[in-house]
Amino acid sequence: MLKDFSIAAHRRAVQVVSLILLHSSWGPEFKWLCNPVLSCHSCVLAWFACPVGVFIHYSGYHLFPFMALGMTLLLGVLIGRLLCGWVCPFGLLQDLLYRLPGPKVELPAWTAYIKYPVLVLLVFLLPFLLTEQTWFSFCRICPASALQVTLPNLFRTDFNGFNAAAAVKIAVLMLVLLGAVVSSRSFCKVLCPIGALLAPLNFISLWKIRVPTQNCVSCGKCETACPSRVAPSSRIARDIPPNRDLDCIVCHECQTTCPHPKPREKTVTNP
Amino acid sequence: MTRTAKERIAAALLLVMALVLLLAGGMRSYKVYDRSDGEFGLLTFTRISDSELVVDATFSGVERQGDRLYTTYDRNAPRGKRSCPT
Repeated sequence: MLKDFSIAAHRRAVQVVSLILLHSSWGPEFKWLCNPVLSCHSCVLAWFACPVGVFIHYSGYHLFPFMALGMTLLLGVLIGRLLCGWVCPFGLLQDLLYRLPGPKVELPAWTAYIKYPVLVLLVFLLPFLLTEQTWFSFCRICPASALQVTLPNLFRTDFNGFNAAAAVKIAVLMLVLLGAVVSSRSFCKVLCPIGALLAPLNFISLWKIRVPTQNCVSCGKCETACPSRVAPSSRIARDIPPNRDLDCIVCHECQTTCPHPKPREKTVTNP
Repeated sequence: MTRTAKERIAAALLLVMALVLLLAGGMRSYKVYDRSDGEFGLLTFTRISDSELVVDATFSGVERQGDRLYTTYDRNAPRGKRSCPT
């Protein structure tokens, strides 16, 4: 039975366990530590700090975020965007929503570059220029914050605290959730500033997905299995780890769906 | 030099940079001023570490005005869970 427990099932199990563990703080907190996944640190159950929120505040303070950047960089170099695929609770939500029936669309490739100006403008530049409390920061539109903090607060107060800021957040959340239903991991691909931070580190991260090149028969199964639609076969064919892509979330689906994952036995010929 | 070797060198350099940043963050401290004017208008401040400032950043515990950081809460009072500032 354990043999049948595929890597996809393992990943789902890790995602669910992470969701519970990341949001189970009963009092003690490790909020001095940034965990680079989209989970709002203002949530009363959160253990860790959100790097985006910390960067926004440090930009407003005009200070360099030594610890927050150091931790994000450290994890990014070690495992790349593995956290996006295996730990991020908002990623889990998108994965589940994409399984709902309905029309599915592929986003144009250029949309994957929107997250970089989002990172620069809404996380660093505008909070630096307009202080951390500005309306033009990512926290003001963050869908995770809307889901974990704004909505529970509104329900708790019988919608007495409903204002323009809450309306904007909830509207963005609705759009993001709708996007997740029609396009796989659309928020991760288009808007996520943590994804934008970690994406370049995918190229050098020590974590590598290994699919034997010599066995590739160009069946295209990895292409259809990939939730990020990053065409892993093009890199497999060039003997490059498939996770060497900006938008790869290191889910290992390409590796597990490969029908020929084991190296072929070498044939010995007589001279 | 092969692609893998270049990747390893870049990863090693960034790993060292990350550790340097963490070390530097561990050694840094910041002055956070109290809102109320002290006796004779003297400003009072508390020194907090970078990790404490990260925690403050999670609930807007500090605000910047001019070139100074000001606390938004009483740092002598016992601390519990913080609510969302937004």
